[in-house]
Amino acid sequence: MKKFATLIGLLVTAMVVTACGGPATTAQPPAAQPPAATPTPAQPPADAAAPADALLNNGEPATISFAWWGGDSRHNAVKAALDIFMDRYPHITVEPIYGAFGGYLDNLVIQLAGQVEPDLIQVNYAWVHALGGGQNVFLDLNTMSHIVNLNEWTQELRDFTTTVDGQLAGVPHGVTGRVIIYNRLMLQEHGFATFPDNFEDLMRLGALVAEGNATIDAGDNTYAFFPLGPESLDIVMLTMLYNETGRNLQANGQMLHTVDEVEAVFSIFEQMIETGTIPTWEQQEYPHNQTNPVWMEGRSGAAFEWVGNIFLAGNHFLEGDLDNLGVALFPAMTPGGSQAAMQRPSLVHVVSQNSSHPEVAAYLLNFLYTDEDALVALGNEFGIPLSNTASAISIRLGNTHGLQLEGHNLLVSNFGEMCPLFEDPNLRPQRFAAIEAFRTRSINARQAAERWVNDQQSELNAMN
Amino acid sequence: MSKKRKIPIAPYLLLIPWFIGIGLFRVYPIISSFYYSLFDFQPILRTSRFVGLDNYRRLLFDFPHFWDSVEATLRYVLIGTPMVLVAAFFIAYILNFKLKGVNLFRTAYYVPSILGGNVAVALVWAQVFGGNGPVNAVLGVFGIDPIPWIQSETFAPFVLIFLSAWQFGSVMLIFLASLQNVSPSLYEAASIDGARKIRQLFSITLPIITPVVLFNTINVLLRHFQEFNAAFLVTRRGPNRATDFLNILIYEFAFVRLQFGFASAMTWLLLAVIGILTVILFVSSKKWVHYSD
Repeated sequence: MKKFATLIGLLVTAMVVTACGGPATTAQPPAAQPPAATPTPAQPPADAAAPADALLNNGEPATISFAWWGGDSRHNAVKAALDIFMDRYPHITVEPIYGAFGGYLDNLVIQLAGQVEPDLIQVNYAWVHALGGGQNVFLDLNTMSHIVNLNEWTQELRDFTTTVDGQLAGVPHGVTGRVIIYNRLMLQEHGFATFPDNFEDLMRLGALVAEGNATIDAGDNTYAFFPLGPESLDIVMLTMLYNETGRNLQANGQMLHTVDEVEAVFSIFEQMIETGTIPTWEQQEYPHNQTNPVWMEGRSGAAFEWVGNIFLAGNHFLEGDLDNLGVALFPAMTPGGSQAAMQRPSLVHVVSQNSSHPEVAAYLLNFLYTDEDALVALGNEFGIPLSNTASAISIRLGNTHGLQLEGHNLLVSNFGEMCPLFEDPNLRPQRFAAIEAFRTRSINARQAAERWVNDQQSELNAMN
Repeated sequence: MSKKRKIPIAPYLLLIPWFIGIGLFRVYPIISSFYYSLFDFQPILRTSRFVGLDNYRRLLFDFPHFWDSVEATLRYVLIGTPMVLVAAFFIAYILNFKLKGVNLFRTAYYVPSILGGNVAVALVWAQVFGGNGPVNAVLGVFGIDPIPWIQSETFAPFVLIFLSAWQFGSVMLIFLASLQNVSPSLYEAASIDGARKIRQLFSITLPIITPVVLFNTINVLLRHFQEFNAAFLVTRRGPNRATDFLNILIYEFAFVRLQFGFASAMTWLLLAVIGILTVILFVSSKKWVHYSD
């Protein structure tokens, strides 16, 4: 996985950090720091030349579908790019299938089981590995190398991200991870210029901010740190463990943390609750997203968000008061300790194995990653791209800017490995359950740690 | 000489679409789900391995989560069903009196049922019972401290039960229809004999409508066993699986974890639980349900 760090560095660090002048950080992550490099220019397709445009599908009419999730702005951008494609190739019709993230996987699973999935599909990185339980369930894009310019992604990147069982299941769009988005107003009010870089200081801030909080939030409570929902808390736990031990979740079907190590993290978690740094179970209210009143009303010192969601979170903060938001790394467990930003490839685009027109779908895939007009239309709606042409155009157009750029800089300069199985539907519920039982005080830190380790190990044993 | 009777074909032809529909969309899925329950079935990879009754054995003996879910479901069903029936009957009984503007009230009480168990209602419900929601605000007026309704293992199931009870409209309408069919002459005779309203209720009204009570009980029982939306959206199956109903667990294993065989076994055990309760109801009905014929 260190190679992955290098790859991400090769493709992105220089692009964003060097070219765009992002701030340097002094944190030392457990994994190797990615070296800086300049982005490689776009190269011709790996094998033969792409088919002549007019001969796409031999000039015969064809209809394909493209499924993605996102918000309205992404939907509009993708539809604009598809319109460009259909203007260019009038005999091809692309049916857009889009919606919110909720329910997307459920639909996809049913479609895959029925072999009626869309021709071109946006999927999550974890699904590429999880859906087939280690086998590829999408079209091997190596068979489409005469259409898709695979050189847009280095061989190493393809090998370490989307290669499943020796097949290229898809192509990754970018890299993502969570960073702290903090509320400058609240921090300044309590004498902090920026978000604390270690837990000692964070809990000091937490106690100050939480002074006078009610046991049940009636709309007045304030918190130094407000991770939204079980997903955020889960990554908080994983990041704490990673920063403390330098190890990821699992490898080769074996959990990589001892019960003692996990218990130590749960104990710090407990201190965060006791000091009021994060809400208690009873204080945390729905919804678990950026529209939570605590975040929207500026009653939270910080959230822990995906880099791609920074603007979404920002737009909900005090009616879009982006000027009073900053981004920071997750705090170290001890002063001067590691502050790695756990990250993984973001979106992956795959082609269906059951497509009636796999070459047309592959052509559209290539178009979306290499055509300048399409890339202009897409803007930064999928986040900051990793592929050569898309990243070069993104830089030229200045698509990436402000908080998102700062967040991205933090990611690429503080690499932390996120296990491909961290979102696995068999493992993650075990962690959620342990954390929830701990937060509701049904079990203590030791018992929570035992559940966290043993229940996941049982699932891993069943998977292997 | 006997004349051969001609069997009409047309009615059977007209029934064919219904048979096809019920065969494809009811019988086939039921049979195939039992078949899948005997396999370790991977729907996406289209692979399967015969495991016999192992999925059932795992569920019953190696998977405590299943029993947590059974407990949560039964708690919801056994408390929620009587609560809905009592609330629906009580309102129907009141609305059966000749009150001014009674039709307006009947409509008003039926409206929540039209809304059904949709997402918007569930989200509103979560807000209503939130820390600073209207329920706690009303309690505050009486000096009662806010209650963590949704965050509490004790209260969360009741939030869902209240939601279900709030949507008693269709049950109430059936009760109302049956109450209107009770002959007024029976009440007149009882009044002449000196029976008060409460005595009339328990000695005349309820015994007469017991077939409807049985019908509503089974309907509400089934609806509660099939609950999904409210627990999924309002309480997120928690806290600590206190509202992790069997239907949601089946969904998780089938469509999130992709363990279709295991999930199918769960559906058959759920069917068994529902079947047992329904049989108990039917058997006991011989003692408490009175049919006029």
